Amino acid sequence: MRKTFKVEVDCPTCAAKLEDCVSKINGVDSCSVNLMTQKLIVNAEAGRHAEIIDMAIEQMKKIDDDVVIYA
Amino acid sequence: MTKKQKKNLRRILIAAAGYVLAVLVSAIWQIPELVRFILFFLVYLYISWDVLRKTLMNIRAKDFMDENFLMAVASFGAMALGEYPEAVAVMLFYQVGEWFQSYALERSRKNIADLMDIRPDYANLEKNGEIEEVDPEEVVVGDIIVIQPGERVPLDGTVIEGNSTLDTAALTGESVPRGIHPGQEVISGCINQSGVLKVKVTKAFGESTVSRILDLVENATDKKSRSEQFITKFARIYTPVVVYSAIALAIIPSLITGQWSTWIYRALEFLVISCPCALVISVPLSFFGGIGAASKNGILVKGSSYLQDLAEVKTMVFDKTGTLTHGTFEVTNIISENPAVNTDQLLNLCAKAESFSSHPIALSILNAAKKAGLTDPKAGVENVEEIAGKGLKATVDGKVVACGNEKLMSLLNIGHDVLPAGSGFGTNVYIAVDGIFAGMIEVADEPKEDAKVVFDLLRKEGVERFIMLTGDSETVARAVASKAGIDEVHAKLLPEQKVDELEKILESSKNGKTAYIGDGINDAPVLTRADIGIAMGGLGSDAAIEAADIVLMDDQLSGLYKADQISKKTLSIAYQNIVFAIGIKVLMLVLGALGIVNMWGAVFADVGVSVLCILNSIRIIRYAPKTVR
Repeated sequence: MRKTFKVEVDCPTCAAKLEDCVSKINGVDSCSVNLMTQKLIVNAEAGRHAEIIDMAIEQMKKIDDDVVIYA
Repeated sequence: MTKKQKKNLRRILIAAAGYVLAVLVSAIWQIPELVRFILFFLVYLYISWDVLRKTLMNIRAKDFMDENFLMAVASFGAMALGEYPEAVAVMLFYQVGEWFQSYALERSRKNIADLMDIRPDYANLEKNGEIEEVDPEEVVVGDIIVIQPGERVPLDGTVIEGNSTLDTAALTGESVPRGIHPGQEVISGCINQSGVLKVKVTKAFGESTVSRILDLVENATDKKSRSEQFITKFARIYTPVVVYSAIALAIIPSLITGQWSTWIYRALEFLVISCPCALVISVPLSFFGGIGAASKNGILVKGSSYLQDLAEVKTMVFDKTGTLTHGTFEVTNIISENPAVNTDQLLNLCAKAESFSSHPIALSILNAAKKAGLTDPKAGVENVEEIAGKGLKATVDGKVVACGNEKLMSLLNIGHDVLPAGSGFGTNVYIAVDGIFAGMIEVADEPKEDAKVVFDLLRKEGVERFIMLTGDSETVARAVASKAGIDEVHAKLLPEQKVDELEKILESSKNGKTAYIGDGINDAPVLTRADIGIAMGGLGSDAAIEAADIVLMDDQLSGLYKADQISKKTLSIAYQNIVFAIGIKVLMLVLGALGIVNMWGAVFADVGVSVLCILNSIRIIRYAPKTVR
């Protein structure tokens, strides 16, 4: 299932990092970050999105804490 | 400006002042080296703490090859070499560049968001004779809403009262307002211009046109273009390569010449020049701008990859009805063959005879007669007799009128040879009055007038083949094709055969992309199968918006030409940026390595190029494609 989340990313590098980070999380089929519309689109098993986003928030703190994800 | 941008701007200004002060102080007074160092170092820390912090963070996360790292190493190295002013300047300019990037990005984001700001804020719900302002989400199907002049149509529905004109520019890019009358459909997102409209809601807000379009636009650029993917990959490989080259540049010549500080300084310049920001930001920005420019022109593009593919289309495959033709039957020709009955009388007689029929052809004749001034079609009509598969007979004002096909005429002993030939697009209705042949009315689904002009323009733009797929008969298909300038026709196809036929076309046109253009009505599978599915008149059909990659909101073929131009403009800007940025960088890298360019030149190569590329990208948002006239 596809779900869209609002994010705050200011640069393409940060967007790429976020994309990388989320796509490596277990259960994510694919994901894409849209820098222009400030959206994170996650394709994953239905019902697992909340958990995935929590993990992404946790991991992004270590990678780039300027990135904000709205769960 | 966002809060963060304001904060950063203030920091840049303070740091710049501090920098100037430090330079002046050390130029005017003889101050000890340590004091000079401390002075510059304080300014340096103030302007670069976030970059340094991020670099440390990235090193800890073991993924540190990005511009933060480049800048941190370059400026730290300059400090170590005693080039304090350079170190501060590098960071200061880097921050200026970053700030400008973020500002430009936000501005263009806002510009495009405004362009697509079609979300209605409220609906005037009529309840028990009273009007209440409610959230459009609360309105249910069947409710009556009132739309005042100047207000945005909040939900899709049918007009039950009132006449007005609608401004559909936000949806279709079409600037001419559309007249609207009771019985007609209104589409959410348009602006009501002149009169008060009472509308019966036919779709809940979630399914209304406006919601679907917003959803589509917000999820666009999901599919990244090949150029963008190239840049991402490029940056991945490029940064490490540059870092290792810089290390080599610092060590190898130094070992030979023994001039360590010269070569380390050049290596640091190398790092500053090489920062890939210009590319990484400007290419996606060009595509995003292109999508924005397209939506301003009533063209929704679902991802930047389609914008790129569109420029490479060599084969265009069209559906006939509703795409190449208007999709509605209209009286296109009236021929009188009997001086006693002129064309107006012919139309009136035929319309009256057919006034009890609900056949689409009868309805179109009736409509044409009403438009020409017939007010009471059923008056004076008696003894209507339908003759299945042939037509009908009726007594109109005392005359026996027979309208139908050639079989009906031969029943009346009117020979095939007296019947005039039509244009071939449509159906001929022959009319006999009191047993004597009177003339013919031709009802056809006319090809769109602009088809040929648009196709000629597209041919000049590099489209090589124009193909039509239709379920209609061979003769009608051929007639439409020749008028529109289509090269190849495949007629009498069932919907599933269209997919097979498209597969064959895809097979035979390997060089270049194949686009399928349809109205989304029973051709959704074909839209999906093509390299690019383009739906026309997407405002009406949910299936089209779902299945297509590009949606032309208007049903004008000229939209294809506009889309093509925007796609090419976007690509050319993206390529300009790639070539310009890489070109300048390579040049400066060579000059830097040779010691011809100093640190200031390096800073220009980084920040200057970024800024120029961003400005170049933004150009696309204001791009106005040529229209067909």
